[in-house]
Amino acid sequence: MTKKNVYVTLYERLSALITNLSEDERQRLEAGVLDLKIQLIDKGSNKRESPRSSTKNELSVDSVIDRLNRYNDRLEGMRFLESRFKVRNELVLVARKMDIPVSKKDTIDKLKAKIIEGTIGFRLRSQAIQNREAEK
Amino acid sequence: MDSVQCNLAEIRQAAETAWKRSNGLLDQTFILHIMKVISVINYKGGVGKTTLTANLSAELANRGYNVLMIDLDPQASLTFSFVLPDEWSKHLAPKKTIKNWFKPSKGDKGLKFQDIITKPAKVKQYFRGSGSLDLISSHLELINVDLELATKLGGASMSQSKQNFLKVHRKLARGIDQLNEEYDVVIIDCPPNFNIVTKNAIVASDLILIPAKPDYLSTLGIDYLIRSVAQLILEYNEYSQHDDDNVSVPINPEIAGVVFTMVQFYAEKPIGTMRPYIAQTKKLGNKMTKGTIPVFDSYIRENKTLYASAPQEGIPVVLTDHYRTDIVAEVGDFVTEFEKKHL
Repeated sequence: MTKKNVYVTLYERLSALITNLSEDERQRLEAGVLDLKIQLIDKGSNKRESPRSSTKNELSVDSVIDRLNRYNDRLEGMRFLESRFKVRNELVLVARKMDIPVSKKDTIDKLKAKIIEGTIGFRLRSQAIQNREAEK
Repeated sequence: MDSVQCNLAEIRQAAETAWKRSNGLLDQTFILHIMKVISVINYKGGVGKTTLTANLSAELANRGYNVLMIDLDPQASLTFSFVLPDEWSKHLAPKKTIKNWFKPSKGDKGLKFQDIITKPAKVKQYFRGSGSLDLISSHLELINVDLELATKLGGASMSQSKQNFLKVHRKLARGIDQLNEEYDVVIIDCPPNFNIVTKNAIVASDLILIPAKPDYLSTLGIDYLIRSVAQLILEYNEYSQHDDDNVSVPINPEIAGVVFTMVQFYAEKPIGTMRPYIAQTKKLGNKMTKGTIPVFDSYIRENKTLYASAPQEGIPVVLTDHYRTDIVAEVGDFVTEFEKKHL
C-alpha cells in the first residue's frame, strides 16, 4: 500500500465509523458524553483490555448508587462522593448509570450535585413536602 | 332522599371491598356496573389536565362506556373543548352549568343533577361503538363559588362546624349520587388548586389521576397533591364519624397514578433532561398508602400541532384520523393501560 493510500484508508475508516453511529451514539457524542479515542496499536501485540475490569467498574458504580440511596442527608452523601471519587470520568460513569444528562461543560462539583440530587435530594424534597419526616 | 344517597355510596364501597377481599372471585360483571368517579388533578397548571380528561373520556366512550365529564375549572377549558363559547353563553351559562349546582339561584329550586347535563353533538359522530359522552359544563364565575362555599364553613359549636364541613364538601358527591349509576365512568377536570370545589371532587372520587410534565416544578406538585389529599381524607373521615345525620361515609380515593404528558422523545425514549424526573417520580413515597406512587408506563407525547388545534375543532386527538397515527395510538395505549388497571 502506498503512503497516500494508508492515510486515505484511515480517513475512510473514520468516515465509515462516524456514518455508522446509531442515533443514540450521535446524541451522546454531541452532548460530550462520548468521545472518540484514536490510538496507535502494534498489530503484532496480543494485549487486550481485560473484560473483567469493565464489569468491576459497573459493580462498584451500582454499589455507590445503592449506598447514596440510603443516605438521608445531602452533606453526608457529598462527603462520601468526595472521599470515593477524585476524577471527573468516574463521576460521569455514575451519572450515566443513573441516566442523568451530562454535559461536557459540567464540572466535577456540578456532577456531584446532580448525583446527590438524583439519589438523596429528590427524596428529601418529597418527604418535606408530603410532611413525612414527622412520621419517622 | 338523603338515606338513598347514603346507601348508594355505601353499596359502592361495600362492593369494592368485597371484591378485593374475594381476590377477584366475585363476578366481575357486578363490579363493572359500579360507576367509577375519577378526578384528574395537579396543583401545577398547564400540565395537560384538560387534554388528558378530554382524550381519556372520548376514547372510553368510543370503546362503549357511558361517560360523564364534569368541568370544575373556572377557565372552562374542557367545556370549550366540546362546546363553542357562544353556544355555551346562549344555552348553558344561564342554567346548565356546575355553578348552578353549587350556587343555585331562586330559579334553580328543585334542580336535579341530571338537569345540568349536556350532550355535545359534534363528538358523538366519531364514536364507533355504543358509548356516550356527556358533559356538565363549567362557568367562568365558578371562581366566586369557592369564596361563597367558604362562608358556609364554621359554626356555633365544634359539632356544627363538622356538620357544615361535611355538607359543604359533599355537595358534588350528592349530585353524582343522583345519577343512579346511569354512567360507567365520571371524569372530573379539576382546577390547579386545592380549594373547596376541588376538595368536593376528591371527596366524590374513587380514583385520582395525576398528569404531570417530567420537569422539576410539576413533580413537586405531585408531592403537594399527595400531602393535601392525605390531609383532606384524614379530616373528612374524622368528621364523618361524628355525622349526626348519618349521611357521610368515610372516603378512600385511590391514586390511580401519574401519567407523564408533553413528553419529548429522541431515539424512541424520553429526552435525557426528562428521564431523571420520570425515574424519581417512580420512587416517590406515597403518604396515603406508605408505598410508592404508581406511574403509568404510557406517556402522552408532546405535539403542539395536534393538541393546540383539537379543542377548537371540538374533537379530541384520540378520535381523529390524523396522519400522525403514532400520536393517536399512544393516547389509545394510555387508555388501554388505564382501562386494564382501573375499570
